[in-house]
Amino acid sequence: MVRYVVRRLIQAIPTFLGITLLSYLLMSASGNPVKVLAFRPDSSVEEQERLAARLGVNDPWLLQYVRWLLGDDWLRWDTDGDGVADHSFILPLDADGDGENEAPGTRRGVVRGDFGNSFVKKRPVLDILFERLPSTLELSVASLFLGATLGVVIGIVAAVKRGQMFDNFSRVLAVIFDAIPNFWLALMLLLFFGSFLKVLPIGDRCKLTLDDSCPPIYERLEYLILPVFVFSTGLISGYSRLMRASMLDVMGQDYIRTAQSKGLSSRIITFRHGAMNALIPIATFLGPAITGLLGGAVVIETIFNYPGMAKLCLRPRYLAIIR
Amino acid sequence: MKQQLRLIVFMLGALVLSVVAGSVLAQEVADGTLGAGEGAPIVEPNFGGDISTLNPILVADGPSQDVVDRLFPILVGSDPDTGLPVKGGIGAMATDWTVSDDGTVYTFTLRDDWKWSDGAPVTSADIKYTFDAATSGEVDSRITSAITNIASVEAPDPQTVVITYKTSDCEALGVTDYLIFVPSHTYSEVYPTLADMTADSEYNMNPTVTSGDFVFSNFRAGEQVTLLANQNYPDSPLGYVVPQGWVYKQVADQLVGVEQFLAGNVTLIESVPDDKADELEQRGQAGELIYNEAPSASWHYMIFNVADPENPQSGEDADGNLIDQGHHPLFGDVRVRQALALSIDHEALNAGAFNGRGSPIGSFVLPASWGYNDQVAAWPYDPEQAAKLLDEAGFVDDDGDPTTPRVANEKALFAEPGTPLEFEFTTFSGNASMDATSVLVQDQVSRTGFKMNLDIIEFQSMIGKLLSQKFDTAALFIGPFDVNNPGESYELFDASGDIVDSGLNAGSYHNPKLSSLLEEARALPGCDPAARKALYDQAQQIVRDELPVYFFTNSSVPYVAQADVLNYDPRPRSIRWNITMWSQNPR
Repeated sequence: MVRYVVRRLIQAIPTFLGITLLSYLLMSASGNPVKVLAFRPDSSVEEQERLAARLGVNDPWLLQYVRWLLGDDWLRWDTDGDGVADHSFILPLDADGDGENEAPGTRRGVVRGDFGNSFVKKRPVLDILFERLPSTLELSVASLFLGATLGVVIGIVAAVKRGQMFDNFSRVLAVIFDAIPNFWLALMLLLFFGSFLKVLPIGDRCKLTLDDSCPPIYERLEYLILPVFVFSTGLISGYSRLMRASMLDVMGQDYIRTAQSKGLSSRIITFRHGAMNALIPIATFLGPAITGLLGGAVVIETIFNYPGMAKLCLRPRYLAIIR
Repeated sequence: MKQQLRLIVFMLGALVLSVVAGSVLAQEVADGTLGAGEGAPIVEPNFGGDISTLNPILVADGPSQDVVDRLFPILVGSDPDTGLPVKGGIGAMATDWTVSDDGTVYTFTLRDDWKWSDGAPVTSADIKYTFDAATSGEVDSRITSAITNIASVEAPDPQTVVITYKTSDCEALGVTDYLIFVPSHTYSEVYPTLADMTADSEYNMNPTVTSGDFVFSNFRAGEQVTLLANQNYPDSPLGYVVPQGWVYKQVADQLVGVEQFLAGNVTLIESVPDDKADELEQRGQAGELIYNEAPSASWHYMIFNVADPENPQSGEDADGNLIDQGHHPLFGDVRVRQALALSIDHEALNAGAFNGRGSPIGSFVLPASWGYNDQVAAWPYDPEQAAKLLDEAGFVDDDGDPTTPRVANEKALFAEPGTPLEFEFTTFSGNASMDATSVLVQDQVSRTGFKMNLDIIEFQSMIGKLLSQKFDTAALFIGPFDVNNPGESYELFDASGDIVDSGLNAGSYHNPKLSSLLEEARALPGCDPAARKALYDQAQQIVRDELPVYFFTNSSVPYVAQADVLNYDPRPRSIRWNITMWSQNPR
């Protein structure tokens, strides 16, 4: 078992490197961020050069990638504690040729949990992400929970009542909710419940206060209703159809007929023998569902003004955040 | 008796002085104005993302600057009506100043009643600290490149600041906007050395000592920055601050921001999205809200690359000598640029891309500026004249098919015979107005024989391409400009700004006469406004005729406020000049 785990972990290294390489390549493809950061009339060439040197964007691309991934504290370091590098690997000690050694590297790299500072915000990237993580988590977890629960229940009932009104109705609704774009549904619900009926807030996560407080989630459920509903409609549709198909498949198995012939009640057959086994393929749907949630959060968080991580992605200039 | 007379004269003098002083920004206080800190907090939407720092020396983004403006005093205030520097302006420390004969030394007298929130007085040492930090080379500050003409800032006593400029500069007072007062006594403790003033210092996001009309309270990432009323603020016309606080509420989507405004959750929207402007204007007319429009302080323009895009060169070598940059095969000829301008139907463009809120403009100086030359006409829509110019320039319709591009003949100045009149129009994606502009202009210019290929790319890539100077035409917004400083655009038209991969004069147009006019207007001895305007007038005419850039429009920007905000009195150059008086009952 241990050998298997170790083997799989070793196999994962090239995959991980490939992902990081591709991600960094994509981020770099949009060009030199200094050009945008310093694009204003009062920006001087000297300022741009200083900025580029500070961000390290004029270094060879591979070096930038290595610094981002593995850090630079092992590329140039200080052994006598005077704050000036006295040893280096690959990098020259005096990079700018001014006759003085550079300061030692301080970056530890992504693999050691140091994502560095954002080019745009100039603050630690992890700080920026962690500030917003709770919002994204509460929205995603609530949506996943609602979507999976409702989807599975609807799927079971639809399978049990196959061909009946509930089955047909749920299938039609599933298609409709699958087909409606999230952003449109979100805007319509906001306009109807927020602007027209005024029964739900128009976005946000908490009521506006002057102090630094946002009450616990159970005291501000009204802020979650619309985003979670919109977010989970796709999940409900997907889960209900998948569960229905899985349930029908299971209910046609021999062991179900055996259970029926033993005289077990239909409730036990449906839930204990049918639904429990039908859930197994459903579990495989969880992985894509979670990634789908994080992707879809960009739209939902933006429209509902929910202060999560995904909202950062909407600003093109924030591409520089992860560098 | 003499004493009584003196007293009467003194009292009369005081009365006259107070009337004069009051009339500078006279405003009737509305009935029902609430008391200190009793008004609802002012909530403004922030469409620009989270703040990154509240250290004025490190600020480099709009949202952070907006908050910093509320927290720290500046040196020279401006008239909210004209935007021009004024002695004793609201929120500013300088009550008076004198200028040396050669125009390089400004001596400012500071008020002595202004205190930091910890009780320490605001003094000249606090502005000197900012200058020293920005010029130390130890701090990564955007201020550094903006104050390169300042030789020194001295603080001979707590109420005197002496700023020495390297050269005489008629915009010297405007440059002081960058020198914000910071609490030097606190900063010296928080940042023991200037090298410690880095972007990741925790104090940057939690300033404990400030002295604006509001003091910092808290920052909730992705949600809001909250400031509370500073009742010790010495510059409130009422003697106290009415709103409980000021909240800069982050709103990712402008339409959602408008809905939140209509629901009463937001006090003011400074920039209303185009597609909501009509609705809000109607609601304003119905008295549901207060609707105003202000002229935009930005350019929405197209740059022509007049140099050879196949071999981009900077405008000058290291010694300042001009470099031969070659010519763009099409736009190197001014007649082709003019023909393109004559092919654009502004009326259709205004209706299709600017929601009818734009007006044609031919000048690079914005109409709100004192330096605007209203005699400089915008390019009219005249396809016949455009065709004539193209014929003269050697681009002819050789097949009689108006749907195909013209081609160059031997008369063309820089294009090989047979070269089609085809070019790339580079711009950025994700902006509805720019998207509409691209498609409309493409269609319009095709009628006079131009083939315009759209190259709509991500913003950062677009800026990279623009600065690389490997483009034909490029369109974008730039600004906001200080409309009272027409010389701010100098770098966009001078050879010194024509630097491959970094200069703003990416189109490589330069004209010695234009540069000389702009330089002269900026450093004119005595800084006589009329004489300076005459110089700027000539410069505007040159840019209009030579057409290095084409201005699509000058838009007006609608802004709205809740109807029940008492004392709300926006002025042309400042909406918030009396924000401490805004009074709205808490909801």
